[in-house]
Amino acid sequence: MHWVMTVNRWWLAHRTVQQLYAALRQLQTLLYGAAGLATVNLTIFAKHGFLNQIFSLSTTIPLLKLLAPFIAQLSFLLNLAVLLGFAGLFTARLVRPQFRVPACSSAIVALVLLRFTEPVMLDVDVLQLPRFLNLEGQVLPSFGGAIILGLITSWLFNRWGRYATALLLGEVGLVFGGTILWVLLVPDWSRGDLYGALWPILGRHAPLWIVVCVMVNCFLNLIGMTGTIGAGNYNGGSVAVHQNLSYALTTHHLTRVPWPINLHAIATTYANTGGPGMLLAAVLAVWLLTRHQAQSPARASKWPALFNVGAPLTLTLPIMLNPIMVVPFVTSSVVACLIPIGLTTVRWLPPSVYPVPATTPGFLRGFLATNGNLVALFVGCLTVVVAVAIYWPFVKLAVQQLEDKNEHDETMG
Amino acid sequence: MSMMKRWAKWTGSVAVVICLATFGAVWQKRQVKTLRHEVPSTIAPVFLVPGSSASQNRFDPLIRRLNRGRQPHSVLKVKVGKDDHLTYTGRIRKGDRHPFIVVAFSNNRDGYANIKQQARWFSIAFRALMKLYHFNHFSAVGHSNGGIVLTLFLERYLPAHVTAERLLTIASPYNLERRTAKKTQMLKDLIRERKQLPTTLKVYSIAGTQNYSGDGTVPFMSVDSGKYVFQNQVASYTEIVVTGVATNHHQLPQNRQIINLINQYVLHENISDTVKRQNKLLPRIK
Repeated sequence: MHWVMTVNRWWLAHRTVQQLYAALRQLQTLLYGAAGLATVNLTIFAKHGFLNQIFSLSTTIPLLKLLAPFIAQLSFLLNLAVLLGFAGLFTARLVRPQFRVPACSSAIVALVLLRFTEPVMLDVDVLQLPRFLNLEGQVLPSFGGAIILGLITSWLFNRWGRYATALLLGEVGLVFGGTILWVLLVPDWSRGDLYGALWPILGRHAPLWIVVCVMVNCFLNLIGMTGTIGAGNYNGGSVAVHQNLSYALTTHHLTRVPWPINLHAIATTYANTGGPGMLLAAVLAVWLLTRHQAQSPARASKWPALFNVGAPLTLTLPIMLNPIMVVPFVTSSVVACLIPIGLTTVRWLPPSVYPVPATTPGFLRGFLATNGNLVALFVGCLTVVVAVAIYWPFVKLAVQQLEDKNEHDETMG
Repeated sequence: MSMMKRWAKWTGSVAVVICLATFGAVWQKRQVKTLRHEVPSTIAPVFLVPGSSASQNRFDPLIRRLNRGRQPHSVLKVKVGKDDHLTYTGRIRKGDRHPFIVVAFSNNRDGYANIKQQARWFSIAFRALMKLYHFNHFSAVGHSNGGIVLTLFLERYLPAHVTAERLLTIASPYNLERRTAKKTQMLKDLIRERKQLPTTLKVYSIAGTQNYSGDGTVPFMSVDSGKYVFQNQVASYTEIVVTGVATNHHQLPQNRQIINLINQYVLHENISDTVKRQNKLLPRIK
């Protein structure tokens, strides 16, 4: 573990990284609030929310339906505020004091254009915006763009701050033009559900393909970019998912579905507990290690993570852009795929076929997607336990480093 | 106190998880059931019900002719005993989307009381077959009292999530053998319960006319009485009168015109281009 500590120390010594984490710490309260509201919205108020569905809340509480659009919009705005606030704070921390106002404005406006140009061009319905922008509590993927914009903006303003107006207009114009070109040149189908679309071609090497997909997805998430497998993505367009479902519904059994091992049945069902990277396991590990502390980061993350809205912990521990967390983040997901792949191959575990809400607690996904199979419930719990074991030493190191740093800051202060 | 608090927290957490799993499982069972009913099954059997005094082999000549010149449909014969016991003969071939299932009864006697009993027996066979072959839509052909058995089944015993697509009755005496307009108790009952018939059902009632009054056994007026049961209740009700050779009541299932009608309306197979154009399945030749 020594080399991990060395790499991590070297990483944390960078000024940009320190500023990034400092900006995240500043936003901590707002971030927890946004994640909490998003969890309530996605599980209770959303039509396909897990709690809404299993307790039939929409039909039993008429007020819920009435309030749902307001809560959804409020949650969207709060999550958007976190994102824009982060872009502004991060840029402000990197740029010279005299250029803070134009630099922050430039970064925020560019980020707004970066995120909103596409839905405006594609005429996306206002109510569909949160889902389209992936701003339904899962704010993590959006931070990649904010970080890149913050870095570019601060570099530009630190170098040519005298031409602030020109820089502002230039950056905004470039982002706007670039986004329009992106929308026009890169067709819709090539984004979205790429893995699902490729599945029929690569179905022969199913286990290998799933592991590769999951690793790519984890790396994308770690650097703050949107992956195509996520809690919000059910792989609805995947041919395998449709064929399996159709088979199960017409024959009433799961034993001989045409694609027993596919991305949805394995990765989305078993390797997405708490969000990408088995974040519920990370939350449990952090909680078990820091429960004696009053300000445990796991305290605010446990409910969002239970319903797969795992962003708060990823940003505040932090897991994102933290080399120490790359190994457990990726390994736990890969192991959580290999366990069900092995058991499905020997036919001990039926394939997950039936659709479940995106906010279904990860360890229950397999159980519900097999229509109540107890082996699937056991596998769901087993993957979480294994993932906690994988996270444990790394979280211990990360928590220790944070404590050391806090002590150091207090001494210096 | 702290220990107690910790235990209470753990117990609470476990209770929440069990509650979520239980309610989730109940909800998912309901969802899957609904989904199963919404998705049409790949298999849509054609039920054949013979009339009184006929055995499960009654439709053999008809099936032979229907299967001529193409990949034959498989045939399963089910005989329902007086004690509700089912005896199977034949099997359904894998991949056959429209297999024939002949349902006959040990008690195949005539009379309203027997017909009512036969409808109940048919429902027993239907439910057993549905469990075995997982179908949720079907069509049916009934000869003579077999048509009445099917009509009673549709009114009284059809499971809620099953879609009856087409019903073709051959010389079915809706008013028994009565040659007057006076309604029998059976017809009165059928009319009273007509609201239970599925509104999406397409019904074809074929009457044979060997002479001016009927097919030698069932009067045309009795077959015609079916309109009081089906008209303005089902999706469509069509009466077809077949005349000429082989229009005697017992010959009707082998009648070439009727075989063509079964092909055209029930199986949707072997339809000539002229008929397809008439039914707007093909564009007209300009």
